Amino acid sequence: MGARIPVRLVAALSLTSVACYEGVSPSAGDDALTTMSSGGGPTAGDTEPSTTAPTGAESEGPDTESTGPGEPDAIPLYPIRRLTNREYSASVRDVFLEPDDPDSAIRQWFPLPLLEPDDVFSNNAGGLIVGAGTFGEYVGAAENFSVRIARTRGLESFVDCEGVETDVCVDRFIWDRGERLFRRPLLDAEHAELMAVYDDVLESLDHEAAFGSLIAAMILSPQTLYLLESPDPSLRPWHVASRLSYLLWGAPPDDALLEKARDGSIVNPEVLRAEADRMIDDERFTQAFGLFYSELLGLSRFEHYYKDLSLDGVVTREGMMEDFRASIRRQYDEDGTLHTLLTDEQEFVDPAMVDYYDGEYPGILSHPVFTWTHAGYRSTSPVERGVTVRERLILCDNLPPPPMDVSAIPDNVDEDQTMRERLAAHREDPACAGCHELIDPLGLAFEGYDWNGLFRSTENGQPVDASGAVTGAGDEDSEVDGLLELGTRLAELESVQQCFVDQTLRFSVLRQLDELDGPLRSELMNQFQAEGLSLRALLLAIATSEVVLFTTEEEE
Amino acid sequence: MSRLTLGRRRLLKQLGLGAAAAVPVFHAGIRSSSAHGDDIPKRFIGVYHPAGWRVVPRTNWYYKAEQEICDEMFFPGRRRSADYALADVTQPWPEETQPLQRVEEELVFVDGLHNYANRGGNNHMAGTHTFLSGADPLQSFNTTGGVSLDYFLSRNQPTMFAGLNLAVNTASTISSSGPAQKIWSEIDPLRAYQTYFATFVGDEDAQAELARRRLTRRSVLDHLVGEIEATKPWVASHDRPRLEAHADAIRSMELRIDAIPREHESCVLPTLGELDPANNDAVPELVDAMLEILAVGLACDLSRSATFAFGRGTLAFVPTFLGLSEHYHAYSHYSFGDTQKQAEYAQLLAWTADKVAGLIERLRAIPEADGTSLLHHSLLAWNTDNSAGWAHTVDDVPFVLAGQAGGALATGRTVSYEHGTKHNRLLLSIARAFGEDIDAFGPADYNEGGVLPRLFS
Repeated sequence: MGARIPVRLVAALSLTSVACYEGVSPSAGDDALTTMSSGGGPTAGDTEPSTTAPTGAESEGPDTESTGPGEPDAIPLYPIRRLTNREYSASVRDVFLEPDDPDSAIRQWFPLPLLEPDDVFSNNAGGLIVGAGTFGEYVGAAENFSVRIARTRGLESFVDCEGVETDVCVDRFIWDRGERLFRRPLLDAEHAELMAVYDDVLESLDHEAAFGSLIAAMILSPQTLYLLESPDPSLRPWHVASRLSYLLWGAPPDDALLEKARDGSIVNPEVLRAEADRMIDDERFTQAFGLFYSELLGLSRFEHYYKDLSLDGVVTREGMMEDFRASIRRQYDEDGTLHTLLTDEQEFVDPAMVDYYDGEYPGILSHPVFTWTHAGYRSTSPVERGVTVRERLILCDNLPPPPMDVSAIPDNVDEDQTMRERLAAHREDPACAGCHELIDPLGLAFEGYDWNGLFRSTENGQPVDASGAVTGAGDEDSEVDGLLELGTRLAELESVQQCFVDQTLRFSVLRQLDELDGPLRSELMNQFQAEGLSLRALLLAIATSEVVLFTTEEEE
Repeated sequence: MSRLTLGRRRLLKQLGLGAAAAVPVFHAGIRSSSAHGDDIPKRFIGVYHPAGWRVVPRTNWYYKAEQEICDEMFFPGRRRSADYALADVTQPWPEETQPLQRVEEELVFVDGLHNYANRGGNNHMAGTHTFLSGADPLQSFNTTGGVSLDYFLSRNQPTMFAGLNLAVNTASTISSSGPAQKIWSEIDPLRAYQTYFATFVGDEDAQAELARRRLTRRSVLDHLVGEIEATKPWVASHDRPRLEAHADAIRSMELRIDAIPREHESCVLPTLGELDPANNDAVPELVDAMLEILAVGLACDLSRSATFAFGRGTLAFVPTFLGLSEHYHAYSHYSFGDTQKQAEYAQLLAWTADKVAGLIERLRAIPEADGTSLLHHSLLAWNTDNSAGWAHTVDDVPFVLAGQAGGALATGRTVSYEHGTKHNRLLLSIARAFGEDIDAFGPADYNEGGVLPRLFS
């Protein structure tokens, strides 16, 4: 039986690229996937003489030549998907601990590093490979976890062992927890192999060690760690349920969703849509999509970004991040749209923030987590703020880096200058202006918020000038003053709307988009606009599209 | 002297973490042969600090006028196209490398190398991994394109760990086991201590627990090898390399299940105080603790490769302990016009150099069976991600080497190469000096010219 790959239709769509000057620009679209195909690093015991890194030309990746409009080709929709550390922790927790279990602070039980994303999103499948470092972390965590579970919980906490021998109980445990971990019923062969692990260790040690080894083996299984597509098409409903739950929750399906996998109804688009709707209302969605927005806006380093000590004890990072997630939650609870996302007054729920952050905060871009992260230690950064808005919300791509002989920080000529004045060279020097006219006018609209994100009306004794402009975004240029006008203008722009669709899609398919995604991008954009840019409607459209409902084809 | 006596002497020196006095159990496992009196194995240590040096490449047209100033930076008595002995340098060393002068006889400064793999944009982040891999980043600049030299050299060594990967304040990724397979370093000295020295600490129960773990781990890993095989039909052919990487990772761990530390007079557990890895102000103490763990880890032969990172690209600490108030990366971006910031930057770099010099001295203080030191049998390579960090240049990136690699490297000198010489050739030269029979490290065409002349013998 051949391997099955998720397929999509081929169509041509050209994406415009930008260059504001002739420089080296990062190449979007290279994938660890294809470049790995011709063999990566050396293997243990291998006597391969050279460690040449493979180049794109040698890749065995799929042939992406278009075969003409309307002709389907077997082109993978998804790369193989390993769970992120966050998702993996959630999966283990959800299977072995009840939500109200006092021990379900799983972080101590299954502590995997939660690291900054390589790409825009941490779930980008290209970077999710189990190498020696990652595997070492997983084994350590799995062993500690399984030893602790085996020591503190008996089999009977998981399955009914009333009146049966231990080995029968172990048997039940494997079927029951195995189904939850693998997100589908186990195959007989899989069951037998796991039973063999238990028996093997039981022979040399004791039940507790054997039970622990069994749990570790199940947790570390590739069937747990990756979302895989079975060669058996009858398992499709189970896969659809997993795709949906990892998309919306970054966690395994709950009982209600598993039932719809079991009875096969989940592949019905109406059932699927109703489930997705239910899942968006769940707290797990807040966590997962709080992460989407946080990564989209480049906020991953917020946790570690060293700042002014005077705020220690005034606000906490945890509180601020919770507040950010609450703001996102409100959007989905209150029929939010792209417009409301970018313009709604932020109503802080964290008490420390309520005390400290006086003033008006229109739109998610004014949330202090954003303006704090995209700033210097004790100065604002119109460049960082402008780059983020340009790259993540308008362009959906990276700007070229600065040229090689330019200092990134202007010399401190006059301490009393405003930041706007210090950046004058960006506007006046033609060598700078080419790129900076795409960056600074956006970033300067943020000048009403300092490096801690606090609203301010003066800077170095002068009144704040937060005038800026939205330019080079497809429609006519427009001037804006402050973040309410900026947010309003951004949400009106077709390029921003399409980019938001694209970023959400990118997050959903775990890779950067390419020409083959054209039809899907258009379809989603149409639906997004038809629904008044409703955030929930966009997710429901993705959840009921080929992203979740794709079928697989046998490879040739 | 019996094993038990040796154990007790070790414990007397260990003030430790308040654990009850205990006798470490020496497992009758496989002893890695070389460290126990036969050929003394070579060790590799990679050291990285973020964001660049205060150097300007030779051909940077913008700073022709400032060439003189630049020549005073970094290299002691820089002569751009000659090899020379450090002992012959009469000028005072530049501020940022002066702390290394106390170990000058152990050093080789390498001038002229081009970190070619890092030539794309965003090369602070990419440079964290191109330093030791010489491979172009994949996909986005944070994704390493290949195996790093430290991992490559230790991949088949049956030591307990493939590498000791440590950092301060910000986890870093200078080590990788293959393309897109970064290895994150540990920033918490307590966790590093518990991980690396697990076989030494704890009472009899803890030791018995470790013995059980070896057994259960073997069963689990055997099972997983079979599962990976069984998973192949579920995975499209272009995705199989990922499963191969996964299988390699399992095999690498299986190799190490029975490894034990070596008995050695310098295998003495360090004393750790209360250290909060998130405390920016405690960076010097954290660095000292980590470098001590690194040195002891090598002395105990827990691994033959180690890395230490002072940050990751644009992310690192603020050196408040020096009275400075900018991030490490921010300092690298002040131009020569800002003399105040440049002076502060030199101070920060000098502090870093002082720590590296301290590590070199520490490794020199560990004796080996042939009367020399662990440093003598090591190669330490110190680098960063750019030459002029503020301009993101990657040509003429200086490398500092230390240690004699078992006699293969003559030290106490500067070696200059022709502008544009790719640093892959340095990685290749080191690998060959370590006995690896390869023709290239990283992409084949980045290695043209082969091993660097006049470096290793």
